[in-house]
Amino acid sequence: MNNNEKQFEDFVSKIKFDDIPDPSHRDRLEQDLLAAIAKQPRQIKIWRIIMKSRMTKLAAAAVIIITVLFTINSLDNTTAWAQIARALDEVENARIDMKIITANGNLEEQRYFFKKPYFLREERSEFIAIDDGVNFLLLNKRNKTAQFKDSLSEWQPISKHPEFKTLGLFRRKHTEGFELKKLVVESNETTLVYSIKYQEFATGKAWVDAATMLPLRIEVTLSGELEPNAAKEGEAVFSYEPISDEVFSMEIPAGYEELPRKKSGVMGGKVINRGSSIFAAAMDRMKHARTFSCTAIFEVAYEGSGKRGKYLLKQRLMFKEPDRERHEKLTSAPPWPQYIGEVTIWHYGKRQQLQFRPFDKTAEFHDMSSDYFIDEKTGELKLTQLNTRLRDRLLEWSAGAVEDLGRVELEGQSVRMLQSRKDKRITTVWVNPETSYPVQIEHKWTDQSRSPVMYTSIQIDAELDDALFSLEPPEGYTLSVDKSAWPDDKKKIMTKVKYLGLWCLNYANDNDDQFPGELAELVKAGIITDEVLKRVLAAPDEPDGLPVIRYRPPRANADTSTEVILFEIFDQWPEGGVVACFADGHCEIIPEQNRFEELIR
Amino acid sequence: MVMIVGTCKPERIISVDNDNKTAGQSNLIIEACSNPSAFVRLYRSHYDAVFRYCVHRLFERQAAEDVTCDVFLKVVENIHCFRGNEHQFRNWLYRIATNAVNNYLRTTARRNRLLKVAREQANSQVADCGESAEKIAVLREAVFALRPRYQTIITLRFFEDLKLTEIAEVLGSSPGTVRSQLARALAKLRKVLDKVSQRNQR
Repeated sequence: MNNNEKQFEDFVSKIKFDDIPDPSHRDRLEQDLLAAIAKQPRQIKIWRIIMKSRMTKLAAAAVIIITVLFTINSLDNTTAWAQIARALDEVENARIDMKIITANGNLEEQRYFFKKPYFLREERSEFIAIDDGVNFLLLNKRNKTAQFKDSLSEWQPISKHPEFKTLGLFRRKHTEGFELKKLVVESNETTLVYSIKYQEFATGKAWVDAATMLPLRIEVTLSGELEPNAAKEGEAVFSYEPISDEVFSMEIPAGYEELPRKKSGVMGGKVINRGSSIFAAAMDRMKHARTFSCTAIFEVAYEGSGKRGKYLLKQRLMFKEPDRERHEKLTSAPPWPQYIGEVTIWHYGKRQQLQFRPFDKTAEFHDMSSDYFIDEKTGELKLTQLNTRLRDRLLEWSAGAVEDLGRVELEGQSVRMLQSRKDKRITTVWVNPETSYPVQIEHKWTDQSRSPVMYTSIQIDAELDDALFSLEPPEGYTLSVDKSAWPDDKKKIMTKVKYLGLWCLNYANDNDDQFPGELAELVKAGIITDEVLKRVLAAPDEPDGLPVIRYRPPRANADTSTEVILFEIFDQWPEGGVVACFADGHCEIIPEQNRFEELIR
Repeated sequence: MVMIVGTCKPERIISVDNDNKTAGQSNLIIEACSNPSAFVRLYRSHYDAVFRYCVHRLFERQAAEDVTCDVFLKVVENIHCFRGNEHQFRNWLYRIATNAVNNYLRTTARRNRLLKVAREQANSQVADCGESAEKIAVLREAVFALRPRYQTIITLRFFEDLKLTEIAEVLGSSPGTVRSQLARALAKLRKVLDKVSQRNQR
């Protein structure tokens, strides 16, 4: 250090800077960063994992095309790819033949076989890996060794396998920077051709079967500086023919030496993330549960009888596959104590519903033969079926990072506490380490305006007595039959109008209470696809026909409870009246023409 | 864990996360690409250093906090592109922070405002009881008179205690070049400091 430097250092040493970081700023920024991470394209994270993980590095070349596919299936706002995503959802078997050219010009051929629900076979130049959901067999071609270990589905369920997920389970998130264009000149009646561009990382082309909207071939070229043995170009050819079980045979080929079975939980010498393992396993078990029950607790607003406020709604929810469901209200809004203990039982197979209230010992029987719902993926009108949405949502919420918070006591039981974050939501899961079943799940939001939701006393695959789902009212109850049933055609239109109204309300919620100017704005906002909109607007018996429902935006300052926003189109006043949806979301059949005309004047 | 170090130098608070000062930090960087909680751990272990660097470059807390935000948002966007160990990660952070500070200062209005504040404070604080405040004001005016590259070198060398080789890594330059630029920066800084001091004494 010269004299100048010494002098300056001495000068600086006498200065006291106000440079102590402010922990509150650090914490605020942390939240902002987590929000930014949540918005990051998933593909980038996967790419990073691929390139850095010792195990998957070998597979990098093969996975590159899949990685791009991941991005493709994330596109919600691109109708064509949403169609592809849906088509792939239905795939039970898939085979992918890949040709990879590395940056230094080497050709690598790889094959993937997927068969739901568990089976996976990967063939590479150096090894073959087979997983049947119970065991994982690695055949090292170079050393001629074979080694078994526990199926990877224990820590990474096959449904969560990146490759398999690509084919079937899609994360429908918008991915910025992804461009997709249909190449009209190259497309024909049977095959559609698309150009693919993802930021500066990749360009390519995809050939898609026009009838099934399944990809037939995808070519991808990566740009930028790549390591010599990294994949530079790739081509994947897809086929969806049934795959024989023999492909997944665990028999060790002749000439291979069998090594001792590898300890579970250890991969490439590194202990795997057990927290993630248990979490994933817990969620996977939820998905395959035959019975499910839990108590849901969340805050609900109420208004009526001159009173308004909030109360904690507690409901015991349970279902038994394939067709029985039961809800029991454990609390009710203060003005209506008669609903405490109200039980509703659905038997979708018999198309019957029973509701009974201990408060006044009354029971009501309801015929569900005309109860419909809209499949929001396709726009199809379907008969109501067992509602497993809660379970499915739990699976959806499972996406994201997992942090093992260690063991805690919960109601005298030692459980493992795990946490994940997605956007502003923090999900905490208490898992029974013996069974890997979650026993309690809580959602909290970093946004303080939202109340937490708790699912507690979760029981999976527990014995649920059929009596709980009985359609016989308890002894001493007065039974009545719901006679307010509408004609089937009106119920169908009502369902369509109800869903359209709901989507409009969702739109308004996201747009400062402004309803869409026209229904096409629901598509632009990504709430539904153009196809779904067309199908829902069409007559129930003519799904590809012209619209039979009309939309009118509500007038400014109108009373939402009397402002019609959607109604059935008619030439002559229909005998049973007209189905209409109002700006507050409720739907009615308006039987009198005069009233209807007054409402839409 | 928070550790207070330094006796001859002004007190500095350095955040030391025991878990992260191990070989595991490299793994943490990898994990941070896909695991938000790992990213948070990584962020927390580097936040203080980045913030301090920004304060030392900008001489203003608020501006430093704003730029620190920009730095870590850039990290979120680009961490998947980073390849290297913990040491290289720290240098990468300084590089991002340097660019972010320079971008911040590039806006003429901001620069003029900071210079104006510096001048006003340098004049008004001559008789001020706080020796540090006076020195900071003088130093700020003098440092802002330098080219951004020289400002960076001065800050990294004397405030962040980086070696010449490390500064060279941050700037993507050779240690020899950094050494000669440091000498030129110090010479110019000395001239400006003398000038400001003389003006204040008048």
